[in-house]
Amino acid sequence: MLDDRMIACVLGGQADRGGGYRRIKEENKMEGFEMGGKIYAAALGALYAVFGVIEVVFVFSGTDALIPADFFGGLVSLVIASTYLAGVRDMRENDFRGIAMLMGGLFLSVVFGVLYLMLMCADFLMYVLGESEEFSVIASLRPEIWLFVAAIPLAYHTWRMLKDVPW
Amino acid sequence: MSAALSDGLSDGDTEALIAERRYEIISKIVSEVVREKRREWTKTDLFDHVFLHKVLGIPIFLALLWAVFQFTFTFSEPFMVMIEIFFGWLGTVAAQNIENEMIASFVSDGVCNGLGSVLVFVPPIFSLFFALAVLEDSGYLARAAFVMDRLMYRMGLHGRSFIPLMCGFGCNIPGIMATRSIESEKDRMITILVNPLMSCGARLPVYVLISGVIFGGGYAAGTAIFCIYVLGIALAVIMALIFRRTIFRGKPSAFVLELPRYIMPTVRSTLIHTWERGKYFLMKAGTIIFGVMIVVWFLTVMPWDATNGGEIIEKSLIAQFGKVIEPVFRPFGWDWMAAVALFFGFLAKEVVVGTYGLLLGGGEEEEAVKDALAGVFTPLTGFAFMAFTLIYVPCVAAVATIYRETNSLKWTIFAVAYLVALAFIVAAIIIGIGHLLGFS
Repeated sequence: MLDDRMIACVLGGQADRGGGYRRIKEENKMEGFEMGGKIYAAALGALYAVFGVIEVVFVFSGTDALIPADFFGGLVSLVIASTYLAGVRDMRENDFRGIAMLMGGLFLSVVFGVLYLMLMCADFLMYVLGESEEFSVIASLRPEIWLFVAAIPLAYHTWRMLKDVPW
Repeated sequence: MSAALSDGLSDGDTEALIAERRYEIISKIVSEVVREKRREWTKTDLFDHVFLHKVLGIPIFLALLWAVFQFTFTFSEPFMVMIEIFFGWLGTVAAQNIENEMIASFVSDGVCNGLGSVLVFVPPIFSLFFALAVLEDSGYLARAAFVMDRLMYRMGLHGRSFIPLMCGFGCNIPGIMATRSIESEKDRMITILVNPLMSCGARLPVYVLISGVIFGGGYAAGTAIFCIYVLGIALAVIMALIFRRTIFRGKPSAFVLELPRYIMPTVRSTLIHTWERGKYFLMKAGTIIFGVMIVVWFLTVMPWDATNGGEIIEKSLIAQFGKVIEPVFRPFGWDWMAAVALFFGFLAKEVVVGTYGLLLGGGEEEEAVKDALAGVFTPLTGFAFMAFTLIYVPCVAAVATIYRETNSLKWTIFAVAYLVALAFIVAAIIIGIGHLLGFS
């Protein structure tokens, strides 16, 4: 029988294969993602994990200074951290699936970085409208926004590496 | 198929078997006629490795869902305030420049409040539909259904039920309409029947108002709202299982899904999809809410002389009506105003807040309403009121949609009846357990 009840057929991208993908091979080996990139990804993952734990712990300790006390935001950071770290684990063995995980982590970094920037703008608008008493850019800059900025060079590097890979 | 059925296989197993054989034949033919130079991956394959991951797939989906809700409710908040301020200003200008008191009250409280209470929900509703359109157009929503299928199956639901249920968090109407993608009639009926238990955006203002009053805002109020959302999901799971084991016996049908290639959504297509869904809410719910607010205003100020133009609410027609239906809700500790708010909330859930606004003489000014409500609800009765608001039938437009989608008056009446009964049962359980724990 099938794996449980699901049959997935990935269409698209199947018909037009044949171009030379320089990095990604069927035999699950990639032609080297530089050590610096791996360390950078590992550092991002570790920072997401640390900030995620702090955000969750702050909820229960009642602390709220620079790093927000945000239970669900903290859990989201832990998910992003897991994605990065899973990618680093695979990349250590030059497994291309590590790059897939890295892409996933970078994608989530961008999504949540942009989201928190938008929420910061919303907070500023609330202040302008007189609905909140104070607004501080420093206090509003969550760690995830800094980490999003920090992820941009890695995202650019990965994008350049995969630019010939079709959708 | 007949052989499979004779072997005692269910419909779902048979479908899976047919699909399996079909893909076996396809694979056999492809392996014979297609020669691949090298098996290479696309970006879609790479992203699927992450988004369909057996461990990270569901957490990533939940994280993205949380992002959608943050975008919907937090990002749209200042735009809601802008609309509130605009209609508040419009009402004040109208009241100051119209000499006739009754017409001034009609324009200021009835029209401006009525229209404002509708349009204030445009930003979150459109934000939600925008976010869902991005997820759908990019190809991710199909993956979300895929990763959730296993969980949905255990709940007695079909993998495709997930998207209609998720849409229900925005508005139950498109959620119920989205069940058209479910082929099995039983799966579709269960999804339609439990969809109203997904807490739609229209109910959120009620939660925000009541939890703000009884829990004082902040983390406690947020937790109370989260509990109400979880309560809705839990009830949907329980009811789906009950329906699956009683009325719609059998297993959910097999889930066969073709995953589209990921694409970058275009601004144009995303905006078109957002508008297509949003305008339905605007046109249908908007007209209903606006009309109801006018009716509520009329009942609040009439008889004009006796109420002194709506100042003495106890002598109004709405108070007389509320006191007639109050005994039904009295066991839960709710007064005639709550009874009236819930009654008109059947027409549209946003009306509950608007009705309280008119009854308590604060218009849509939240602070005035909160102050007045503080003496009405205890934490226990307030939480039970929130739970009742969640469950006790969707709005009239959603009921009409259930009728249209099921094409059956019987199932429409059943949906309304079971939800009302469930609301009374859950509210009674909350009050009962609360009293046992020593809450008043």
